[in-house]
Amino acid sequence: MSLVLDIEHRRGEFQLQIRQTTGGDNVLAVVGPSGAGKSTLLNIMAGLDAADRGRMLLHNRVVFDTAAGKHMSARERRFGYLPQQPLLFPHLSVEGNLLFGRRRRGHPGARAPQPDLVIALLQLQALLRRKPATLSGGEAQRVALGRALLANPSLLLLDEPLTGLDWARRDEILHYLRELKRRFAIPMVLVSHNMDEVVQLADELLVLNAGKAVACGSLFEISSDLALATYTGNLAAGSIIRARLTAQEQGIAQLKFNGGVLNVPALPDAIGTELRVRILARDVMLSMNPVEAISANNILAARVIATRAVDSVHVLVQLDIGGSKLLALITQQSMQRLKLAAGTAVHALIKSVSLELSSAHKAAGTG
Amino acid sequence: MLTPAEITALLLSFKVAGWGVVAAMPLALLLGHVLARGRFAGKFILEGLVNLPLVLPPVVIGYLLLLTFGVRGPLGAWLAEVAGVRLVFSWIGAALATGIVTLPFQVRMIRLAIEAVDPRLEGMAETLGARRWDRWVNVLLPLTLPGIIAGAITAFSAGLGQFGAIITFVANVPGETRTLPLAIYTAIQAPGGETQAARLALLAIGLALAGLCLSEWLGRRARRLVTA
Repeated sequence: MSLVLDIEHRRGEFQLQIRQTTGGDNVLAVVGPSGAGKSTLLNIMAGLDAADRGRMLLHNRVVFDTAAGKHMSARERRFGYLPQQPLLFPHLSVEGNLLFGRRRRGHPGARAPQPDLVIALLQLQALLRRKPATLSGGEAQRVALGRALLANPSLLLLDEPLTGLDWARRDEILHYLRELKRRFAIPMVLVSHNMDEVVQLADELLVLNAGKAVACGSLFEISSDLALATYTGNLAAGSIIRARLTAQEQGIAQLKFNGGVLNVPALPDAIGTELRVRILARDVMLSMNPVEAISANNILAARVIATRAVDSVHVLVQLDIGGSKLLALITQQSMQRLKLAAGTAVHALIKSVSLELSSAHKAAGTG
Repeated sequence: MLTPAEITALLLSFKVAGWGVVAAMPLALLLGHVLARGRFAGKFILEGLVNLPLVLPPVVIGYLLLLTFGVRGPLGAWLAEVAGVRLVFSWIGAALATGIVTLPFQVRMIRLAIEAVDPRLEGMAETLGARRWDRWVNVLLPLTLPGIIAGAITAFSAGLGQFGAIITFVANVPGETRTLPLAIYTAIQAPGGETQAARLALLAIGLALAGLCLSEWLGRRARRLVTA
């Protein structure tokens, strides 16, 4: 089972050139700077734009293949598409919008998302009789999500679903998206320029820059890739690791990961919960000796894998911590002083407050 | 108030303008759609052709219709032979002339209404499983309907006043082609017809005003619907 993308597309000066195969079963995040071709790629996948050349296969089904002259229309693809603007039908009520796709998709099976469940999940009961013009941004986005979902899509295409929403709404929609992923197991392609969203939803990452795929693979591997920082920005660079909550006492939770244990402030999750931890490179300090008198809660023995100068002042250091990879952002000056090179043994100091967690509770209280 | 002949002229005006606008509507919808959404070379030529009746003297349109649909005209002879229909001196001819002269009003309003609709809405409808016809009927049409009606009312109001093309093409036959403007013209020509002419003129002014107000109101509704 897989998603095969082999696309060449030119519009004026811009050229999109992608040749990647991904899992296709999970959430694939497409990230990159604006103008990288993310939305163009999504439009082509949705069938609203035709690629100049190439093919797309989802689970061995040909979506289009220009060489073979095959092209499924947007209608035949059965992909749910959530563009940046909700694009609700202004003349229909919220209910009319929600059921628009469902009414046109024949008899959906028992496994298809049911209206009652989707309406409850997205908390749309009170909105059903309203017209789209009277909805807030977050409400409209929820309706658009429900509408796409009720058409029983085989793939959900989300184009910056959280753009233009305030922080509270962001968390809310993110929470719903995570719920959808859990309940319906619909594969998703998520276009985003926000690593926070990506960390919380994605399993795989496709990094686009100037129309080209510069990295593609599992979120955990790609996030600690040195080259990626060039596209996410130095401040956003950080690695994502999988961890399990193993103990909680005295206001400190212990997260066990492949390579060690992280101490973080207490969490509301049950012992045994799997969590994603994002550690920003700028929040990791390096020391040659194990420091004891320091306020940082996490000090881990590490080994330098590689370094990469990201600008005239900063260097990104890729570290190996018992099999897990971590990034640290330090100055060129520090690197010279510590004489860091591949293979150097160091200690990574991580402030516990700088951990970013992705767990179901984070947005559970909102909405 | 009005004499039977005047009432006949008034009702005939409604009939001629009404049928003219209704008959031209499918063509107006097609042209409005093509001009709003189409991308092709020579679009400005089509635009010019559609708007030609606005600037051409109506007499010229009547004359061209006479050449085409007259008894000896290519289409006129064919229609008479095949369907037994004669347009000259008939209210149907008057309706045809009115439909053509008022076509630009309809096309313009329909085009504006369609241009105001985000084409991505139709794209969304397609991803949700709507076929072309379905998208047209259930997305584009409801959103443009107020604009279409506003265009039809403007065209109808303008059609009530059509004079030059009608008198040139189908002449001034009482009860058949003598619409309100032709009745006003006839009254002015007749000795002592000034009061009648003034009365009918007031009526024409009232009708035109009512039509414009209605069309403006609908136009606003249309904009509200789309920007909502």
